[in-house]
Amino acid sequence: MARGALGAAVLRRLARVGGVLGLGVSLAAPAAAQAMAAGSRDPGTGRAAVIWTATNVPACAPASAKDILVVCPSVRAARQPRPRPAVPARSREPTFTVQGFVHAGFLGFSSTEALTAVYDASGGFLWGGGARVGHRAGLFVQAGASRFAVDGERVFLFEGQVFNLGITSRLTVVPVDVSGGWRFRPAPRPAPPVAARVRPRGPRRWIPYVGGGAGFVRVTERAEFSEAGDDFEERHVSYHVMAGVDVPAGRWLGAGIEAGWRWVPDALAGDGIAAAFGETDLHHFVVVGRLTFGR
Amino acid sequence: MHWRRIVETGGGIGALVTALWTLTAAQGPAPTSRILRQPIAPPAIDRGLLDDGNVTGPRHKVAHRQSRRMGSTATADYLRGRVIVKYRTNVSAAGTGRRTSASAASRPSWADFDVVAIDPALDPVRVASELEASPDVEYAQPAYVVRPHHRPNDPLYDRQWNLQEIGMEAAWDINLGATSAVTVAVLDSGLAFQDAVYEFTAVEFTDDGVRYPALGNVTVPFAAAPELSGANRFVSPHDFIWDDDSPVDMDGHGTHVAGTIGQVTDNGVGLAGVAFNVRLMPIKVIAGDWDDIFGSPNVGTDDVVARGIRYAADNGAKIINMSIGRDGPAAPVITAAMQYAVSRGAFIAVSAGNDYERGNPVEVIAEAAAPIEGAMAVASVGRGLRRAYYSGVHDYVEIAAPGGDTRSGGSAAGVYQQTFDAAFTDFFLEPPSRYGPPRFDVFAYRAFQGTSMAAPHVSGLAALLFSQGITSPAAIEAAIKQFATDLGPTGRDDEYGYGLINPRATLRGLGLLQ
Repeated sequence: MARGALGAAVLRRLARVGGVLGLGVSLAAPAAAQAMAAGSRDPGTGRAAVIWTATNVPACAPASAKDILVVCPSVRAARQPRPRPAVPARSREPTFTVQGFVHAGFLGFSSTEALTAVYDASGGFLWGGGARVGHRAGLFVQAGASRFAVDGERVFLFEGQVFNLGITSRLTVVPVDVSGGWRFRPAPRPAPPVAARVRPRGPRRWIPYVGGGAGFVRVTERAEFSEAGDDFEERHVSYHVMAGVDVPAGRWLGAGIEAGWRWVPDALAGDGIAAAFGETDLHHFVVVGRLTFGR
Repeated sequence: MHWRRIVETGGGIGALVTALWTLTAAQGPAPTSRILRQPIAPPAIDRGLLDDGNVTGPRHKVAHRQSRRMGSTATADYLRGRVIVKYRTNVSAAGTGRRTSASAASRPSWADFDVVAIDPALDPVRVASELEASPDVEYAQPAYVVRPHHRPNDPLYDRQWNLQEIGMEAAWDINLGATSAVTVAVLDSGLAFQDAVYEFTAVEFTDDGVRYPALGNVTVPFAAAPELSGANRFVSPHDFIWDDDSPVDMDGHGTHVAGTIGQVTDNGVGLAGVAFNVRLMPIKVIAGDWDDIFGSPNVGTDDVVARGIRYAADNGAKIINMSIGRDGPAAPVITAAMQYAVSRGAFIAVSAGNDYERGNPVEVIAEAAAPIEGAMAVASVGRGLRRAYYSGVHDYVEIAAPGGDTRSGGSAAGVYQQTFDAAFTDFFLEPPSRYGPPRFDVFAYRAFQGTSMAAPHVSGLAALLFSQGITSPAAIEAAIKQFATDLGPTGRDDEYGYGLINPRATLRGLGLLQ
């Protein structure tokens, strides 16, 4: 009798835990099913030992608990501290989430010849930050700004030959934009009833997203020996698309990676070396790593 | 060369006499000799500024100078967060500020204006504009950043409108007079580069029917121009008129031209030059009046000039100034020499000619320079930056530079540089009774005008560009054209070419955007 009462208690616990950790139990089930089909005996008592899968324990436990030793791989787990009530995964997130983020990465321009002539590079390090408001369904809106700066020296171009003039120049590109997009949250799994000891393993939930938007890019070029009107500062409308993936690292922290392409037409339409190369646009791609804060 | 070498090496008098006799016999009655009597001479005499209203006019033709022998020729930066405001009397700064974007005002010392603090995010230009619209404000402006311009301390620099008009101070901020790694050859009448005493034989001559007596053997003192000389300043001098390595100037033209290129600057004396740190290569290819009178073995003919050009290129000159020219038939020998020099990496500036009012003839050397990428024909502008009355108008004119125009500014509108004091050299312009031997050791700051004075501005700029990093002659020419300040009709024209040289813009080159 005592055994039967014990067995019923174990099974009830298992049922609760399984509800919380449905995915883990499911992962364990194939091995258990194999053992049940084969049948075995407990080496200590000589009773038939059947390994139950989590899904069929509640239905048969009260009747068979007296004669059958229920051997469950997760029995120890059932003795763990009382788990929280099973709540469907989606319902744990608020309707709206607010996140701040910082990012850093690489920016590469499409107008490579002119940039290389003056700055000996057609891209470089980029950093910035912003904020994102997301809806539980997946829709999000974010605003962000980045900054790219590179140093070079002014040049004279003659028949394809670049003469460096030793006059330091700095190009600063600051994209400021607003984006909208969709985060592809994982589909909710049916809550399994039992899942003792089984915890999430493998990769965290990766949340891919795509989006696009518009903004402006402030382009500044300053050089030594500048006088009135020499330095260049303009703002240009920009459009962009991006795609990335968020990797939650906890309730309030996350990481991610994002790649995007920004169109900045006619941003190089000045009298500088870009015109000499026939390059007028400041289109660029961006690849950044991102740290997020908030939920 | 031969005569001096004989003397300097202690050659026998017999050989000298024999040689003298031979040359004299070969050239008829005019004895041709130049004997170095002393390798040193008393220090040069600097007579200072000669501002007597007399300006040495444009040389109309090289051949003309040689007539005695030939018998006939270029939104400031400002601080954010403040604007400068001058309020009218009895007006509260704060009161006006409330109506605009300005806030707190402070009165700095030694000021009759206020510095008004504004939101750093605001545009000071716009705020100043708002303030200025107020009847309570006398003026308002952003706090523009002022930068030092290199202004030479040479006391007569104020007279050098020619340098100021093309913005040399701002250009010197970028490149302070080039470096001694750049050699500029001056193909001209020689250069006052040497302290020496020479002995010449002056024969009689007739000028416009006036007979000047023979002076016989005369000793003539020479001195290096104080404002040109310096340690290792002169490199590879050569005289193609006397066939030796002492291209002493007996005219003053070459010395003046060289001064515009490389006058010693910031020494608290005299005047400034464009590229005052360069080394100068004096190459004499033009005979002055005294060369004629002293019977120089050569005069400035096409072959002599061509040899001078090749010599300069072969001896490391990166810039060649040719404030010389002639009209008449083409000179393929000079064209070929210029092409050779450019191929050797030398940029050439050629004066475009001074004879606009004398029929505007085609100047052969300037015309030959135009199609060569790396050689430029230079026209002249006066103080108002308008074409000088004498400056040739041709389709080969490529660029313009200050050359002086006394018709629209008097002597002050000439180009001042140090050269010989004419009162000690130009006796051949005096009546025969006052005619006597010259001395080339007395200097003064004199105003000249002509495209000869314009070309060295371009040569100086080319030297700055070379030291700045543009080492190809063709690229130098392209840069000078590209950044020239357009004058006259839009685009290239026959008066100004591509416009007035703009040294600062040319030296700055281009950034990505501007």
